[in-house]
Amino acid sequence: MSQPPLVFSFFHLMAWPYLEQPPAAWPVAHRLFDPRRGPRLYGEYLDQMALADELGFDWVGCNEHHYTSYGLMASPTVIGGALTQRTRRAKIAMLGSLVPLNNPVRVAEEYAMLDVMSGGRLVAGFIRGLPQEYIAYGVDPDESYERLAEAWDLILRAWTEPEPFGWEGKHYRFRTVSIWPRPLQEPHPPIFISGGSSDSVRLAVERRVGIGVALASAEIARAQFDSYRALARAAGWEPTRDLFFWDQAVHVAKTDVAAREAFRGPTDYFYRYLLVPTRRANELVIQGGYYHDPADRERRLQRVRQRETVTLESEIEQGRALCGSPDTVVEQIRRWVPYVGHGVLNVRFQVGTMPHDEVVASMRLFATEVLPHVRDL
Amino acid sequence: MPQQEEGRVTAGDCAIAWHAAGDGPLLAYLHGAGGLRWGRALDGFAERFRVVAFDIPGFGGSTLGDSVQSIPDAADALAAAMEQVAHGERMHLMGTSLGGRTAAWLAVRHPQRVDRLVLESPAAFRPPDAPPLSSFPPDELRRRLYGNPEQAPPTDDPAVRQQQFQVMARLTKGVGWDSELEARLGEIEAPTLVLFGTQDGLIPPEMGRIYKERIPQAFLTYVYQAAHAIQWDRPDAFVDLVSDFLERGEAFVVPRAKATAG
Amino acid sequence: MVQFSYFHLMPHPYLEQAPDWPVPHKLFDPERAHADYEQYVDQMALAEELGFDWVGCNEHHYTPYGLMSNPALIGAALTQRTRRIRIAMLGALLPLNNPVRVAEEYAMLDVMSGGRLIAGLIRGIPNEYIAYGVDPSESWERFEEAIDLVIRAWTEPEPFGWEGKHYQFRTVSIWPRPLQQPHPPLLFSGGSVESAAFAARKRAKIGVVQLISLEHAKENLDVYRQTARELGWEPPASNLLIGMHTHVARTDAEARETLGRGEDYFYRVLSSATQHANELVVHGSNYYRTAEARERRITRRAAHKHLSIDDRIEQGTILCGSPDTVVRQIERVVKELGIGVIQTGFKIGSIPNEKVVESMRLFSREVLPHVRDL
Repeated sequence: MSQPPLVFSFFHLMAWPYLEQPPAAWPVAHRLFDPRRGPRLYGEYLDQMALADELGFDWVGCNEHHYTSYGLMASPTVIGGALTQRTRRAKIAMLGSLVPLNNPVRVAEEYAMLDVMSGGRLVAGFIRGLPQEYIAYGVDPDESYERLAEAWDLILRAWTEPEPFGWEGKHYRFRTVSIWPRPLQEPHPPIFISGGSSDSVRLAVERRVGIGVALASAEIARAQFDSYRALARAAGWEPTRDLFFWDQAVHVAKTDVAAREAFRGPTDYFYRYLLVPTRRANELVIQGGYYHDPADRERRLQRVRQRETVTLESEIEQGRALCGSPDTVVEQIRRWVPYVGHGVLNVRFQVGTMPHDEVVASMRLFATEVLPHVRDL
Repeated sequence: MPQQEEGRVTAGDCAIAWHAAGDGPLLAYLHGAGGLRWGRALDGFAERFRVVAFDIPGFGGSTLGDSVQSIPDAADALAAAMEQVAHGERMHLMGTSLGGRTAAWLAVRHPQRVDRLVLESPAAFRPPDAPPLSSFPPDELRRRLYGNPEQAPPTDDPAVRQQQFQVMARLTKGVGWDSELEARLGEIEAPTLVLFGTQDGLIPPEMGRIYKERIPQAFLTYVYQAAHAIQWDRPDAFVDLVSDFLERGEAFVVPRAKATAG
Repeated sequence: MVQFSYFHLMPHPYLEQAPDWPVPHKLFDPERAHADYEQYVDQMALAEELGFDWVGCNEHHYTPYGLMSNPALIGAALTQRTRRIRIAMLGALLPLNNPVRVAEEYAMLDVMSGGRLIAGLIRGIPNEYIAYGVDPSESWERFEEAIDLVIRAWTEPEPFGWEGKHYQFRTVSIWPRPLQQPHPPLLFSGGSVESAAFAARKRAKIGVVQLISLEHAKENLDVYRQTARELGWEPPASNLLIGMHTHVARTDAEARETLGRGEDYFYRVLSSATQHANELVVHGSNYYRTAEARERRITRRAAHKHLSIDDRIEQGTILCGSPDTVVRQIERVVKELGIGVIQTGFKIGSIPNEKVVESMRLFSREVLPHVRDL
């Protein structure tokens, strides 16, 4: 069966690259954030996203994190608002608002604003949220699936009900809802959810929406997409690859050696300074009901702990990073796409401490010497 | 009010009086400079813990031996008392104001005695330019202590008050900023919850940050609409929050939709 | 020195008649709204070019009256389209939202804009409480607690917990935190004497944006100033803002004609939708904490809606006329009220966008230079 064309999504975490040592724990004290460096940093990150639009990436995307140097977007829709002014063609992929942690009607409203402001370019991620976000906003992680499912229904109604309606839910109660604006896209913007557990895969297949897998090896991504495919087939339909997005860090340089040299430090910073400090908080929440399936729980705990021993080589080998000369990166993409079976390459060029000019150079090289050779895969 | 038991143990050259109620994990309590006042909050704790309130040397039924000339000395005597009362087991330890300062010293000097630590409006760091407590007329003091004066216990007899100030002066040597303790906060092993009321008129609630910064496993919480005497201004919220912390430690940051088991 | 804010409600002015609130959104035209958003943001960007000092917008729900469910998204767009102008969020409806999130969004805007945010925190008009299912009787309590929490979220150096009456967080440590120190300036609405006194207690700027009459505004601003003095500080004029619908044209007659039609649509169609809902809330709850405040609001607002354009001009509550006329109107209002910031609203009701822009340009060229130094 013919598959839709590959989608290249330029994704940004908007990390804080100036930590002098790895923080001891999460949350990270925000006196470590120097606001005087902030304007320029956001400026560079938004410039990178605007460039991605220019260079022909299909999507530009970002997400939501709290209380951390890992990502400076407490509200991704605020960035979305900025992106409506800096992009013209690329879809604005909110990957996304943390639905169980926020007011679902407000999520519906913000997404609708972005969709109308951008002329119908929103991709609506309904994201469950990393474990520690549940501590940040004080929501019981054990309720996350239920909340996600109910909020999803409510958001869809908020988008599509012609008349004002009430909602008497288990987790959410509104006597009357009638959002202004409502989205431009009909029937509504496309939806993606995070697909890292068996419960979320099941939910996604039921509702026929796409799933995303992040910070995961090729093995894990493939396993998730395979289980989606199996469930869909059992229900009588064949999912196309554009329902599967997989996140990878990317760096392209003239030679393999140059690429690895440039990417090693940033990768180390990403893990040791940004990600590993969240470990304890993650463990607490994962043990506190974040997963309902024990297998999911075990696997995630393992993944969280393994982060202490990551190397650039293991990243490349396991598919979490694409790194090398243009030819090498083309090879790597050619290897992973059939193996994992994804249709949306969610690629991150700004990693850890990687400075702006290097990110831009890598992006340009990717656009001119990698993209043309992989678009038709 | 739950059935109370009383007792006394010897600790060096001090006799230490204790008052206990309730059943459950052991929770040692150290009062503030106004002496032990048993109210709604301690009753609340007694429903989930065995609360053992110790009189600090020189207060209530505890004598002030010559060997006790400082807060660390008082902490040593209290640690010895805790060891006896708990038969060598660890206890959770909670201290209010002066008792908070004492509890912090105890946790520094006797980590093996303490399970989890709660500091309610701890009085270890008062800014140097703050007027001394003894300079406030009784009405003003009351206002700074209690956000909801109608819920506060009755004011003490002036003679008792005077005596309490004297003991406090001897133990603290009039020092409002305990830099020795500040230097040693990093040695506290116990997971620690520090609480300040946003309306505290005796110690600026921002002093909480010092503990948060220096104690390795510390949590700082501001209690809204409470002054210095948090457990009198917002007893139920105080009991729920602190009990959750004592039961779950660092995991208390993970929200639980069901209420904590009574 | 008087500063001028260019304020936008971002309305959807295409309905023929006054609907009831909440307005069914099948009446919403997404294509037209898309074009409007682009033009509205363009107008705000133009305001910077034309010399306005601030640009501002606000939050409303479930109504064509204003299309900003979250004004921070517009604020973010403005960080990309402007360089120097202050970006005034006027603002998040604080009791209806998660205060930590409001703190976070405002911090993002402050950093992204290079420190240009004016942090308006608004209690919200009564019907918004129905929108988000929050008890309006709690609005003042929630508002006060949330303000304390927002300020702490901005300024605490270490992570902290918050055990409040209405809000509980085990740990808070927002990233980013704001650029302006100690935090972006606060602005509260001063539509009643209670809120005016409150703004003074919190050392926030005060905005009287529903200008019913100059005396009403003066009463509130005087309470603000008096309360401040009692607390030992003197508010600069730049702390005092009033909001005025504005239209400048070549002649007085032309201006009256255009703004007259705009006001008619604004009151008859756009704002009447919320009237019923507002009444439900005001009568059915303690949104106003005293009976006097409740009565005052109802009687004053009722009278105000039905005024003619000439009445409004005479009362001095709008800026409408030729450039010379508007200069005099501004002089009057500055003299009578002592305010330092005038918030102008040009897109009133169904005034076409081209006329809005023309009026802005005329204002910039022939009014601004004569009133800056009042």
